[in-house]
Amino acid sequence: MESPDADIVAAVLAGDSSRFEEIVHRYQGRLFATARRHSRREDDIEDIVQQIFLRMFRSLGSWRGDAPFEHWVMRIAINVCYDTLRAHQRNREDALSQLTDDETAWLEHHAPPADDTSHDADAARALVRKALDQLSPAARIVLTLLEIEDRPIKEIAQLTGWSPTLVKVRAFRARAEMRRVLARMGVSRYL
Amino acid sequence: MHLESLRKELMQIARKDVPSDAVPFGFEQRVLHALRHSQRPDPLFEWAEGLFRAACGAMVVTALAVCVHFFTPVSAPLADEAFADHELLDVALLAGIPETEETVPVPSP
Repeated sequence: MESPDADIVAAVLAGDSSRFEEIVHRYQGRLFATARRHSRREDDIEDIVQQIFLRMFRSLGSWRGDAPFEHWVMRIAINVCYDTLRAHQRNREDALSQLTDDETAWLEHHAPPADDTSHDADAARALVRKALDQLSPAARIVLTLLEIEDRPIKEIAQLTGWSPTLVKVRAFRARAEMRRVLARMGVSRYL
Repeated sequence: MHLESLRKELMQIARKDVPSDAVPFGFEQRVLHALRHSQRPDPLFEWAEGLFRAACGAMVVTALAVCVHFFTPVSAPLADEAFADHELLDVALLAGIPETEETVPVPSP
């Protein structure tokens, strides 16, 4: 039977840092899935998850135990993802108007069924990722949490440390920003 | 089709595109190695950190000394208590010398 998170944290804080391995083992899958939402390159993803664990280890003492450990982990994960997006802001892809043939084809006959696993669906997914890559870090984070992961405003506020009002404002701006990105990508001519 | 409709549709597609939670081989070892490395203190970093703290402390002490020097009112000595500077220097220099016959000044007739 697995030890509760609180026991492991207490042991690590008492000096038995080898117990942190259990936390790594327990959360690495979830953190990889989270990091993959926010970044595409596998090298970046590994660095992000490693950074999350290092930050967790350093600030383990700040977990007060009144909230589930997983929430605290996710808050660190979102902060690290946000910091990474901001650090790589200048390296965002410039291929604004360079739609691939598949993406163009999807836009021309767009609206395939969402569970379609065909070539068309791959093109649609590639188009989404390309559009998300063009967004500012705050817009990407808020759209990912709100519209892709379907989290409530209150939870997003807790995860990001922003106020609920700021989350709503940023979500409004993010939607507008994504529409602008799509327009710049030249999708308007297919609509 | 409106841009907002397309945006919503793309978001729906992204929602169905569930990311993998696969962990690359050897990742756990990589993290644990990084943790062990991060725990080991870097002597150069510690020395630089100590130096920085000492410099901050020294600056505070210097600032306090400057404040005390400039903002403490100088009280003028009373005329009968005042020593001339050269008398003070004599007292300071002679204070450590034991009184002997050679050092005791001969009273003038």
